[in-house]
Formats: sequence, C-alpha cells, structure tokens
Amino acid sequence: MSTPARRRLMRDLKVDPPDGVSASPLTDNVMIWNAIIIGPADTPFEDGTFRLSINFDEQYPNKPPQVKFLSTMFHPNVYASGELCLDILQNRWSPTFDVASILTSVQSLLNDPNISSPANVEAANLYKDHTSQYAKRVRETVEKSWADDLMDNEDDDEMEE
Amino acid sequence: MNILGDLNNITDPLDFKDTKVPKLFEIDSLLRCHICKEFLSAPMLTNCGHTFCSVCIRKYLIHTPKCPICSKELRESNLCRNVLLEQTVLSYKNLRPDLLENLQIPKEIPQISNSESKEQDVEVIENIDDDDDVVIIEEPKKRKSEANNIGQLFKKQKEKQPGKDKSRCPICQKIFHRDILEQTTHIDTCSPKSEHDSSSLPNSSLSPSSPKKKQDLQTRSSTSNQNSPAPSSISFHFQPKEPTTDLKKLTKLDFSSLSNSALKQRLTKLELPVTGTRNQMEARYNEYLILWNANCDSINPKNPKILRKSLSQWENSLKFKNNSGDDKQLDKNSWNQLISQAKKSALKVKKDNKDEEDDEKNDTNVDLKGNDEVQETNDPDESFPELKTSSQEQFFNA
Repeated sequence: MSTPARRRLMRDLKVDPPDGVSASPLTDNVMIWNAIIIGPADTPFEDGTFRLSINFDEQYPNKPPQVKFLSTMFHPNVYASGELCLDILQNRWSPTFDVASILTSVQSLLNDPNISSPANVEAANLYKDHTSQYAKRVRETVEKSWADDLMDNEDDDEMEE
Repeated sequence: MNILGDLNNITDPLDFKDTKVPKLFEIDSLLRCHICKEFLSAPMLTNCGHTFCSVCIRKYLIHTPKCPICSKELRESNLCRNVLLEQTVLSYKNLRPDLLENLQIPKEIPQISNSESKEQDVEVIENIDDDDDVVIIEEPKKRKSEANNIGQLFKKQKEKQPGKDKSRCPICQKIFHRDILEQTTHIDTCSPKSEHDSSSLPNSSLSPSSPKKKQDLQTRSSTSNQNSPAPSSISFHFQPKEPTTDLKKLTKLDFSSLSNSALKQRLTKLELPVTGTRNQMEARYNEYLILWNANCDSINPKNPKILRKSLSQWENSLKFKNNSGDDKQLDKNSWNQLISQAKKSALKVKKDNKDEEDDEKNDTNVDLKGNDEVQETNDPDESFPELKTSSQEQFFNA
C-alpha cells in the first residue's frame, strides 16, 4: 500500500546518510528503520557502534518519527529507556527534514549535549564538572556496544557450527 | 524485496549524477517540494517566498502555522498559486525521460557488429580486466552516436533551417527576413499556424540537439528588446487552464455547532461515506477539504473520484498504524552490514582529516627541511589505520 508517508520514506532511502552513519528500513516494513551511528572521532564516543530505531507513522513528514537508542547510552540528553531529548524531534521539527538530517542531528548531539534540559541528570552533572569521569562512563558504553556486536557474531558462529 | 522494487520507480535528482550533464541535478531538485520531495504539484508560494505542493503545505499548516523552511508565521490565506511554476514542472516532467535517455553515458561494452574491424574484438579480450582500457572501446561508440546525431542535425537543418538572414517566426513558424521579425510588429499580431503544427512542435523540441529549439532561442534573444518577448512554442502546448467555475473551494466547518445529521448531510453531498464515529467523520471531512482545495489550485484538476480514492487510502492507512511492533529489529546480518557501512564512511572521514593535517604539517616542514625527509616521517596511509583501531583491537583481543 502506498501512502504519502511511505512514498516519502522510499525517497529518504535514496539520500545517503552522513559519514559514519548508516540506516535501513526493515525488509518487511518501511515504517520502521534501524540505524548505526559510529561515535565521532576525538570524542569519548569515538568508534562506538550505537544502534538506533526510528519509528514513523502515517503523519510523517508532518510529524517527527520516534527515535530511540537501542544501545546503552551515557549522555545528558538520552533517557534510560534510550529515548532522546532533541529539539528538532519535538518542537523544532520541520517537514523538510528527512532520515539523513535526523541522523546528522543525533550524531552531532553526541558530542554537543544540551545541558539545560537534561534527560540523564548524572550524565549532565559529570559532563559539566567531572569531564574525565564523564569520558570514562562514556567509554564503558562504547565498549558495551562492541561487546554487543561481538555477541551477535558469536551467535552466528554457533549457528554455523 | 518489495521495497527495492518500489525504489526503482522513484525519480531522484541523483539520477543525473552519471549523465553527461550532472548539473541537471540542480534543476531537478529545485522543481521539487521540500516536504514530499516529489515534483511540485499545484505549487503554492508563501509570503516569505518559499514554494510547496498545495496539499503538503495545507496539511502542515493545520497544526503548525509556520513556514516549514524559515519558520515565519504563515496561514493558508497567505498562500498564492504559482501557475508558471506549475507549467514549468509539467513541461520538465515530460522532458525528463528524454533527457535521461539522451544524456546517458554508455556503460556496457558495445556489441561490435560484423562490419566493424576485428582489431577491436582483440582489444576487448586483452583488456577485459582493465577498466581504463575498456573505456577506449566505449569511445568509438560514443563518437559514432554523436556523429550520427550531427548527421541528423544537418539533415534537419537542410530541411528546416532558414537562410542566413532569415529567421523562423516562433509563433506562426513561417520564415521571414530577420528585419521583419525584429523591426515590425509581426510577432505581436501573428497567430499560431495551425492546431496540428503547433501541437507537433513540443515533441520535436524535446530532443536536446533539436535545431528547432536552438532556432527558437536565437530568435527569442534577438527579439528580446521588443515589448513582446516571443512566447516559445511550448507555451501553446500548456495553455494556462483556469479552474472551472464549478470547482469551488470548500470551507472549514464549525463542528461544535453542527449536528450529527447536518454533518452527514454535508458528507453525502460530497459523495463521502457517513460511516464511523463522529470524530472519524470530522477527520474525514477535514482531510477531504485539504485534498479538494489543493485540487482547486491545480491547472489540471483531478476528477473528484480520484480525490475520494486517496481519501479512502488515507483512512485505511490510519488503521494500519497500530499493527507495527515497536521492538521489531533488523536481523543480525543486516545489522552487521549497517555497522560495516557506517565504519567505512567514518574511517574515510578520519583519513581525510588526517590527510589534511598531514598536508599542513608537510607544508610547514617543507619550509624547514627538504621534501624527501618529510615524506618518510609522514605516511598517512600506513601509520594511521593501525593507530586508530588499536584500542578496539585490544578490546577484542582481551
């Protein structure tokens, strides 16, 4: 079934995501996308492979999708549930945005958190006052993301055997 | 699979990336709506100077009275039809497949016909692995096809091109001495030759190498100083069609003062279903209002039947909404693919940055030392990737 939202998402598929980011809809449902953001260089997030899910509804692009980290994150603007607090996904959304621009914003949010409205107060406080400890906690999530990837691959190996 | 199948039907400005004129990418993007990213349909100009499809901007303004691009306050009443742009889009959409076809760069190794020398056959076999050399094979074909085009061009010119001092009137297509066209009011008064002739014109001017089109352009530029810039032949093809009078815009309803039966009456009058709850009927009316009013903005209004069909599609799509499981994810292989894609492009950025840094270093070092020494100490390709992935490797080895 073709609706304006679905057609638009097919178009979004043609737009290359920014460097260090990749995204794809589920094979059987173009309304749900999964994405990977590689932690930007020269930040505590460097080389982390962070997984996201993006859920669209038929109101897209007039309404923003729901974006959520599937990976464990330690970031001032990411809730424990993985949901994130990002202005362009709420009150500053514009229907001119597409998947690539959403992911660009999430990518830049990683190293440029908005401290004024923290979703994770501990992360916000450490970010402000104890940079090295903040970096350490972030590195833990980076290593966790690698462990998740590794687990996936080990599962595959077992299945092959 | 489904998804990929649909993907091929979607036109994209990037379709021109690999053609002979990649810059057509620009015009292809400019004629698209910023909201739906498709070619503008019934384009509406805002008072801040931006343009969107009528349906797209009307739907958006219902809940956010702001311009999607500049966030300036915007209301439906501020929108203004842009007829010329709509005609331009229609014209371009017709032209697009021809442009893509004619501007294609031949990619496959051309089939070599028997009449052509066997030397080329040998070359193909020898160099089959070497891209650079295969290109050499492609060139003769390209040249040949160009040569053919030029040949055709001359043929057409012989038939149609008027003499040196003569020009074709862009309107009636008769040939006149240039002075007559430039200094008399012929263009102001003449009328198109005949229905048949003028309708055949746009087709012939679709091909980019058409001599007639060039001729048109020449004539137009030479008469541009006159009061009446001669309209191109295409404008006759797309006479602006004003919406017929029976296409009256629908008005918003004040639902709070409208009884159920009155609302049903309204819907019945529009040949819309009266099923469902009160809320569903109100939503149905509001959605149809947008579709209908946007349709009134078009120079080619659609049949109300089509509008009703999109309305029922819209209603069906709302039912689907709840079925999608939130926690559904890609399978592991697809995840791995995404990860490697992202890593690849991330590494590319790092490398570029590093190269830039190295370039800077090189520049400063060159001043101090000799060129040779510097190259040894700075070998970005060799030293860099190891350095960057080392922490990750340590992790995996642990």
